[in-house]
Amino acid sequence: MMSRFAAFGLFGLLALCLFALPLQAQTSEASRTAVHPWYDLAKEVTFTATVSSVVKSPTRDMNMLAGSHLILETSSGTVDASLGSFATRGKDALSFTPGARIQVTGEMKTVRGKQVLITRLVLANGRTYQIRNAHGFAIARVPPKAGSSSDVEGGRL
Amino acid sequence: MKRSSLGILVVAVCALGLAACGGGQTIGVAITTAPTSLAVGATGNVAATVSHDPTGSGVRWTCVPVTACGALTVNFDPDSTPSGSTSVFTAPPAIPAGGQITIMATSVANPNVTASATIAITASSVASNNFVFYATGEENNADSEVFYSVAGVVAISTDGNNTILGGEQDYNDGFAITSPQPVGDFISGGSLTIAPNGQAILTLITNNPNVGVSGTETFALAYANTNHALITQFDGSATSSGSFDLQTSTTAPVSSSFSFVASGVDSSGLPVVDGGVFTLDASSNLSGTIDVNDAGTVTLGTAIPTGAALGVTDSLGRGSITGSTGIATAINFYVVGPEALRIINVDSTDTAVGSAYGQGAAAGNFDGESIGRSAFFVGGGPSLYSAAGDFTTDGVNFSGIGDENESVLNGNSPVRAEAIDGTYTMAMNGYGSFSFTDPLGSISMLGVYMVDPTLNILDPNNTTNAAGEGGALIAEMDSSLVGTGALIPQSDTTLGHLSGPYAFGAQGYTDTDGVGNDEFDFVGEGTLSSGAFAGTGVLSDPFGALTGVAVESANATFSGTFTQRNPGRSVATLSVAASNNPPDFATVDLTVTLYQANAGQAFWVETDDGMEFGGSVQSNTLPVADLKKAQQKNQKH
Repeated sequence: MMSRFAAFGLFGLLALCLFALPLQAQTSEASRTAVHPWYDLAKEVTFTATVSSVVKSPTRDMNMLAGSHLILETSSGTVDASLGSFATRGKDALSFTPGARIQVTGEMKTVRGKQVLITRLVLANGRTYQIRNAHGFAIARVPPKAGSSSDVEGGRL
Repeated sequence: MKRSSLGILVVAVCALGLAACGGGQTIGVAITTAPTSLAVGATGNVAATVSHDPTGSGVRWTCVPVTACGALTVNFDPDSTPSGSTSVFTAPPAIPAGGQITIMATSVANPNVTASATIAITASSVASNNFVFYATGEENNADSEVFYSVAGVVAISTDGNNTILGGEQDYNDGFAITSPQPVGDFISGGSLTIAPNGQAILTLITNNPNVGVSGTETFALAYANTNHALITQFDGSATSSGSFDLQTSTTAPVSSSFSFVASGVDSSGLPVVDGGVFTLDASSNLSGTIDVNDAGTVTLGTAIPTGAALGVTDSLGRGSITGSTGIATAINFYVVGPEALRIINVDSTDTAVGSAYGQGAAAGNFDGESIGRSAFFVGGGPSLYSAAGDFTTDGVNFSGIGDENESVLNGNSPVRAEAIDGTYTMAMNGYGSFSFTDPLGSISMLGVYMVDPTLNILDPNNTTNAAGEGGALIAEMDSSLVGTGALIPQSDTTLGHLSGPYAFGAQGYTDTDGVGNDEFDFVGEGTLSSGAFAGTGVLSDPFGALTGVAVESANATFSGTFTQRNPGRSVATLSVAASNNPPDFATVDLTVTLYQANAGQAFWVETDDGMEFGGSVQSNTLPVADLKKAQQKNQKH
C-alpha cells in the first residue's frame, strides 16, 4: 500500500490540484500568526474518486494519522484520505462501500513522509458530510439543533 | 359533554380525598418519625402512617427545596414505604440556605394528600477539612472520543481516619452525562487511603449512577504536601488529570480581580479554550475581558456582558455564575480559597473546566515588567498536544527555547530545543498576549493573564515555595492549536538543584493505537538526585494508549536519568514499567524534556512522534511520619 502512495507522488497531486476548486474563502479571524495554519482552506482540492478500500483502524506500523482512512482511486492514481477519529465510529457512523463514487474536499498534506488528503467534506449519495471544521479539527458529533438548512451535515451518514 | 363534566367532577372530588372515593373516609397521612435535625450527610429514620387508604399503597417520600435536596430521589431509601414502615433519609451534603429542608410524605393513592416535617441541617460534628478537586480527560467510551470535566468538593475527617464525610460535584461530558443542575451530584461516602510516600487512592460514592463505576469514582492521588495533590481518575470508566487542594474559604470572593482559563470541547466535540481577566465588585458582579479559541476560530478581547455575577455559595463553597458570561450557558464554581476558584461548564451540550486565580494587590498595576524570566507549559486536556519551554524578557520582547509535540493532533513532527522569540503586551489589568516571531511548532499566539505575584499557580495554598509564586495563566490563541497552561517565574536553571522527593503527574495521548487519539494519565511519587529520577505510581491507561493493553496499574515505576542540555532544560529517556510479576504491562520508553522553574517545580513533556504527554513535577514536602500514622489508622478500620 505504501508503494502505491509513493507512486501517486507529486505529479498526481499536481494533477489533482488542476481540478481543485476552493469551496470558500478564508474566514476573517483575529490572526497574528507567524506560522501557516495547519489546515488552509485556500489550499483545498475537490475531486471525485472511487472508494477502493476503508482502513478503519490503522495499525501502529502503518504510521498513519489516527482514525479511519479511505483509499481512493482517481484518474491520477491512489489517494489516502484521512477521515479523522470520529467519522466511522459510533452508532451513526459513516459507512463506505468499495466501488462507491464519492466527492471529497480537503487539503493534501505530507504527514510522516506520506501524502494524505486531510478530508474536510465528503459528498456521497447526494449528501455532504462535514468531517473537519475549517481549521482541520475533526468533528466528533453533530451539534444539537444545528439548524443548518444546507445540505452540509455532521460526520454521520 | 355532560358526561365529561361529570368525570372531571369525580376526579376533582377524588383528588380532594373525599369519602366517596376512599370507601367512606378521607385518606390521611401523618409523619410519625423524623429527626428534628441532622448533620450534613447524616442519616435518620423517617416513617409515616396512612389512614383510610383502601389500596394500602403507602407514601412516597420527597424533599424540598430541590436546590438543597437534589433532583435525584435518592435522599430516601426506599423512596416509597407502606404505612408505618421506615425509610432512611440522607441529609444533603451542604447546609442549605435557611439551614433546613422539608421532607414530605405523599399518599400514593391520593397524591394530593401529604404531610411534611422540617429538618434542620447542621454542620458535621466530626472535624474535617474540605478539599476541592477538578480533572479533565477522556471517558472510556467505545463509540467515540468523549472528553469530560469534573469538579467538586469533599469533606475528609481530620481525626486520622480520613473518613469521607460527604461532598458534592459536577460531572459533565457535554454529550450524555451532565450532573443534574442546579444541585450536582451528592457524595455520600467513600474512602481515602494514603501510603507513606504520599500516594493515595480516593473513592467517592455519589448518587449519580452514570459516573465512575455505578456511581463510585476512584481517583489516584500523588500528594506534594498535606494540602495539595495531583489527581487522576483510576477506575477504568475514564481517565483524566487534575488537582486536589485544601479548601480555605467557602464564600464567593468580592472586590477583587482574577485571571482565568478553562478548556474543554464544544457541542461538536471540538476543542475550545477560554481565558481572560475579570473584576468582582462588592456584590460579586463580574466585569472583564475574555478570549476564546473554539477549534481554531479565535475571538479576542470580548467584554463580559453586564449582569454576570458569582452567585451565593453553599456551605461547601459551591456556587453558580448567574447571568451570561458569553462563553457558556451554565457555569458553576468551587471556592478553593480567597484567590483560587475551580470553574466548570455544566451545559449539557459542551464541557470545560479550569481555574480562576486572584491578582491580589497587583491588580491594576501590571505592565511588561511583570513578566520576567519564566518557564511555561501549554497544551493538555483535549488539545492533543503539549509544549514546554522557558524564556527571558525585556519588557517588550521575549526569547527562549521550547519543546513542542503536536504529532498526535495532526502528524507534525515534534520539535525539540526550538529557539523562540517574539513580542508581548501586558495591560495594567493583567490581560496580555505573546506573539511569536519564531514560533514553537504551531504555537505563535498565546493569551496571557497575570496572577497575584504571591500566588502559586500549581499549588494555590502553598506559600512556602516563594520562588514558585506569581506568573500567569495561558490560553492558546492559534488557529491550529487549542490549549491552556501557565507560566511561572524561573529562578533556578540548574538540574542538580532538583533534588529530593517529588510528586509528579502527566496527561498524554497517542494516535498510534489505530482507533483514534486516546488518553493515558499517571501520577506518582519519586526522587530526583543529580538528574537520576526514580518513582512509583499509578498508570491509568484504559485504552492501551501508552502500553498497548488496557490497564489500570498501581504497580507502575518510572525511571530515567536527566541530562542538562540547556540552562533549565534537561532530557531523559523515561522508562515506564510494571513492578509486579507477571507485569501489568510491558516496559515503554519515552523521550522526555523537563523545564525547571525552580528547585521545587518543573514542567515535562514527551516528544516522541505519535505520542505525547505533558505535566508537572512538584516538590514533595509531606511530613511522612504523620502520613504513616494516618495510614496505620486507616488499616485498623
